[in-house]
Amino acid sequence: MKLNFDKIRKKIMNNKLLYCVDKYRKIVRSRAYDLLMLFHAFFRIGSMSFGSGLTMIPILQAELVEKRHWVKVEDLLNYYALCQGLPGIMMVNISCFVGYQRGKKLGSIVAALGVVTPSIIIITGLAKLFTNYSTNPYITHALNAVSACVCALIFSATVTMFRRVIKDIFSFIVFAVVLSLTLLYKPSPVIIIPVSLVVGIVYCKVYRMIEGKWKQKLSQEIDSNDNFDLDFSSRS
Amino acid sequence: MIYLRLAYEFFIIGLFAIGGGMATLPFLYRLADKTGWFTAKFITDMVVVAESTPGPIGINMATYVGFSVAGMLGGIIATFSMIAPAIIIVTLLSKTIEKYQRHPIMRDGFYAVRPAVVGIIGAGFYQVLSNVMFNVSLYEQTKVIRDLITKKEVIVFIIFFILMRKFHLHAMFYICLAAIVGIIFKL
Repeated sequence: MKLNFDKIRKKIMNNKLLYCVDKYRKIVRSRAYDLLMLFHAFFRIGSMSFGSGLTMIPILQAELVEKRHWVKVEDLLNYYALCQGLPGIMMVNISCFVGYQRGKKLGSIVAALGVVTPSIIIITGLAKLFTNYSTNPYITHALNAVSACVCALIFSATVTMFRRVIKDIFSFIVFAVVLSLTLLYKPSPVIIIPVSLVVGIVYCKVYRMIEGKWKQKLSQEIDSNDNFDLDFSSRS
Repeated sequence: MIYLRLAYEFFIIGLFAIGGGMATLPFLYRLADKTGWFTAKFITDMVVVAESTPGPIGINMATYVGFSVAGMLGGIIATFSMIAPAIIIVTLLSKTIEKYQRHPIMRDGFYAVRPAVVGIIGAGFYQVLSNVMFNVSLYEQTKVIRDLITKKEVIVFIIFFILMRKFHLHAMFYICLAAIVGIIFKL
């Protein structure tokens, strides 16, 4: 049976109800496609982070920033900072934030499910092999090398972030202070981040006040200099 | 109903574990004492397994515990109830956060927060580095400085870092390459 698409299209355009239904169908289909892409992206991310919580940073950077350009490095760092203070696993929190950006509430749920599904599949699916997993020599050799590689990945990501974020002496001082404090006293990030937030607000306010006063002083000098008479006749 | 109990317990864990997968450990120990589902030794073994399987550590641990307690459905229920409070809170907060993210005061604050976060990540990197590269127990036994550093891992680290900065390939490529290199060179 041959379908006459022109006739069908004309019918849809002429009939208001059919037109609305068609539009709605297209919107739903494109939204479903967006959500599927979101799920796919976070499925990939969730299947790639090995080891401690820091490994997710280079993976997030590679997938979200460099490959898909969904967030910028600064936004990623903002989300990371926010998620330190919120309950829950950081990977899930960050994926919820980015998912909300892409697809509102449903997007955040889909993103979180996407991050979680690969580990569910792997652990429930391969649990029978786990009796020998930790003692298998191949696995041990591979994991030693992978942890060294992950170290290099984290270092590379840190260098990239350092270059993007630290551009003047204030940020370098903040970085150095936080680095040394965390190495020596190990305070919880839940304390560091609100404190640095307040420090930033205070510093910017003070900087602007000082800058305003300096500009005011400069304009005052210029005004007082205007009292000179540019009288060429009096020179010669 | 063990499923309901599992869901409730992991919902509480997901609600109160702030700051990552490792923060769930004290709650898991308390859970092991409260219910008889698993022992403390099981938790230590599980941390090793969760660190070496792909996926966030907290999720792996929750799935493993749920799976060992109540099978596949238990694993799924435990994981979903652990991420549920996080999803709820973030979805509720996202609208407000996106509204105020570009606010000038928030911009000023985050201008200082970003270097602080890089500092935290740097400190964490140092910890990971010391776990992987430095071998303190061997050093204490032999007292030779060269034994402090595990040579092969340092070589892998340096080579991979140079490769990463030169060829900006995807991270997964390097991980697979490292696994293959590890299997070949440590045989």
